[in-house]
Amino acid sequence: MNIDKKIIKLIAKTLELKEKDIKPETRLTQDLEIDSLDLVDLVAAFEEEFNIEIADQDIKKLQTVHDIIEYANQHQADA
Amino acid sequence: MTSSNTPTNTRPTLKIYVSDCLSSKELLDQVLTRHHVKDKRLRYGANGKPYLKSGELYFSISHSAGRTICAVADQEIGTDIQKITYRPRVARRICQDHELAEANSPAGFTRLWALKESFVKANGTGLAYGLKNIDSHKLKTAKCWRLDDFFIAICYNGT
Repeated sequence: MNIDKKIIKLIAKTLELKEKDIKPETRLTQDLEIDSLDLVDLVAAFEEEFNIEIADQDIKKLQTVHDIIEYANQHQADA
Repeated sequence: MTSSNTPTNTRPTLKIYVSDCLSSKELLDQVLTRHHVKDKRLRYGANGKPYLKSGELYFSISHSAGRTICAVADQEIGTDIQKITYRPRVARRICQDHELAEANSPAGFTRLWALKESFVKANGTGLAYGLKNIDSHKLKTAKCWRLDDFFIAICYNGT
């Protein structure tokens, strides 16, 4: 499974959404209407799934699904 | 909109309004009107915290599961309302070791979440501060209480 699909699947599972409603351009707060608790839950799920640590200062940079995919790609590139 | 019975002042020490039908925007508008704020224009801090441009009153807003809260004060204030929930993954990410026992129940977890959220909303840093860096036992001006199935927390600026 490529990383895009893996992340969309993770977001759907964590936030109890349908995968078809989540696109790379989907905005987390405006489109999915998630609050800060959901956001931290998503960050924690992302960290556990990819075994990485997201700095608290970086959380606000994750505004779209694409941002999360890029973060994962960047991390894998760094690894 | 409900509130305590203390007289309405233009610069209260602290007043808290709770609504089960108004959106955050609607509640804020009504609260500012009640406190005779004429210029309701907002500006935003670096991490998105809204302020009145005029600076005549401080406020903080939060909503959860259809319930909205607005706190107004004469100094920086942060508030959070959260319907009782349990997110063990979040608990591990935001709690210090000595808080984990309390966070191991829905009420305990929600109380800690609301307290820490109110702290970072008061100091305007938001999640960037790192909720795990906050020791809930050392918060001097934060208060948290239960209202039905919700926890409400308030905190003055960064203490």
